Amino acid sequence: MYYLLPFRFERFEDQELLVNEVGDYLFCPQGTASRIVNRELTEEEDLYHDLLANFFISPTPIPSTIDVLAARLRTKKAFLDSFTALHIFVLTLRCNQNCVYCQATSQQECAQGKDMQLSDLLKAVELMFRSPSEHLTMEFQGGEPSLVPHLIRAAIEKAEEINQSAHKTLTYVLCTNSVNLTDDVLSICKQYNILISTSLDGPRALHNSNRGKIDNYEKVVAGIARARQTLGEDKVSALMTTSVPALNYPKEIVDAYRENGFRSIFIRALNPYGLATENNDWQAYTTCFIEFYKQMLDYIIEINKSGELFLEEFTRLILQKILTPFPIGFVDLQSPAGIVNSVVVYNYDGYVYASDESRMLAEAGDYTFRLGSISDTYESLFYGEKAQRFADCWATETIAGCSDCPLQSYCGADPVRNYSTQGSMYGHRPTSLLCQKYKAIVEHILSLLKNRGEEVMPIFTNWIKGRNA
Amino acid sequence: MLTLTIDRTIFTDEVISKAVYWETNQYFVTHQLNGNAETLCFEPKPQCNEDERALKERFLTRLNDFKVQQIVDNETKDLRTILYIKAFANNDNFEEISE
Repeated sequence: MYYLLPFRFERFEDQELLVNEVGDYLFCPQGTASRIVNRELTEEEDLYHDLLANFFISPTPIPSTIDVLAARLRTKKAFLDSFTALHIFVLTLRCNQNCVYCQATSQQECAQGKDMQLSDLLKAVELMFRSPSEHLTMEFQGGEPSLVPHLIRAAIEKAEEINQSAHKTLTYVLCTNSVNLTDDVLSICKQYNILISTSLDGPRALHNSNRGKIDNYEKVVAGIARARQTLGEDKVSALMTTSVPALNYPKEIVDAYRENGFRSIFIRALNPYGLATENNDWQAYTTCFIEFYKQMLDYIIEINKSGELFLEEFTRLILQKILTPFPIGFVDLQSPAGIVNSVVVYNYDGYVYASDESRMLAEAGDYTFRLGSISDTYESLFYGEKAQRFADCWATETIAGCSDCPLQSYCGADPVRNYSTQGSMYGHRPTSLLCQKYKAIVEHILSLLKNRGEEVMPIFTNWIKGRNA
Repeated sequence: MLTLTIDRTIFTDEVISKAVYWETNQYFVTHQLNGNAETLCFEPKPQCNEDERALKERFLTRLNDFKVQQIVDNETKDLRTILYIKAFANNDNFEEISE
């Protein structure tokens, strides 16, 4: 006789995938879930002991290990303990580039009224310090934030001043296209140990085509080199965005990153905001992106097999969810969702938004995810009526389609994306391209673990350890 | 259009609804209840081009899988509640897992 512990399952290739409440997974013969509930398993079977050891069944109604399970569950959700840790400051909407996929609806460099008011900025920094989190990340975004170095400096000086008594751990990140990394900007970065997050789309022709400039690649590469020289190699990271033309160049993009001295890449799909909404077939794009991701990951695995350590960051995040008890800081893959709980945006327009994508929607005239004014109280912004409304549908554990999904532990809720693509925060999983994309990626990674475990596990373990060390 | 009649004494409303939910990307589905017999009509949406056999096979598989899942959920409901209470009730007696 045995008792059941909470788990979910799905048919997976020629087997069944079982995942328990804390994210442990087990591949079993087809029909295992049915055999479990019908009490057909016997103690003589290896499967019985595998299920017992992996918290799918218990010999007692309340398992003796329930406190261990509870501790693991709490650890998985530890990102909630400190509440909002990532504070994004959109200092300006002005930009010096014309990226074809711009999601932020950036404006011309000479545009008027698109910079954040200094008074708003200082109030926003004060709001940030109301967060109970011991670790605060100030991320400067745009537009192109390097166009307003005086605001970067003012924000950091204010934060440092408040932190004299607050004693929090502060991390500064500058999201920049690296074209305008002047002596002044780099001097601020050096003084305050600012991390540079830049973007490189791949080889020269592809990158320049995406940016709508003929010489942008050279400028970005030169900017990255300057930043590394001034700040150190480890202070500069890069993101790529998979534009439609990029879908044809998975290997070339990886090689461009390697040639430019990067040891990792973050494969990032286009998001349906700003100029990117002009893409006219998201279903086709999603299908192609999934294939692109698989090809790129395969190529990266081959590179690692040759002895070169090169990470794919999105895969690493998923692996950390699958293979470790720890939560990840990536706000797109959290439940409850990252909005408000982990991230908030202080926008150039003087308002606070629930996430980066929320302020992007606002540029299209949709203020659904505007929490209020920077002048409002912390309580009304972070615990107000709007935040409570978002909470109705921000947990995968409770929404239709996700609540029964075995991949729930590895995924996250995204009411903003649901709203922007499907017209409701709750969303509809059967037609959700986000669900389709995440599911395909997680299943691909699980398939690699299942079918090529001996080959990929040492590589994946290195990826996880590389970041945990 | 595919019509299926499901015995509600075998598959609950919850199980049927969950199985139907995942078909709504390709089909308009209507329900009609007559005693314990629930009749489902699957009308393909314009972009749907699969044959009825594929739909029937998938739907019946889903029904069975959701029924098994429902049993797991029902049997573990209380334990899951205890687990969440223990995890999030600010009990300081738990051993923390540190990175």
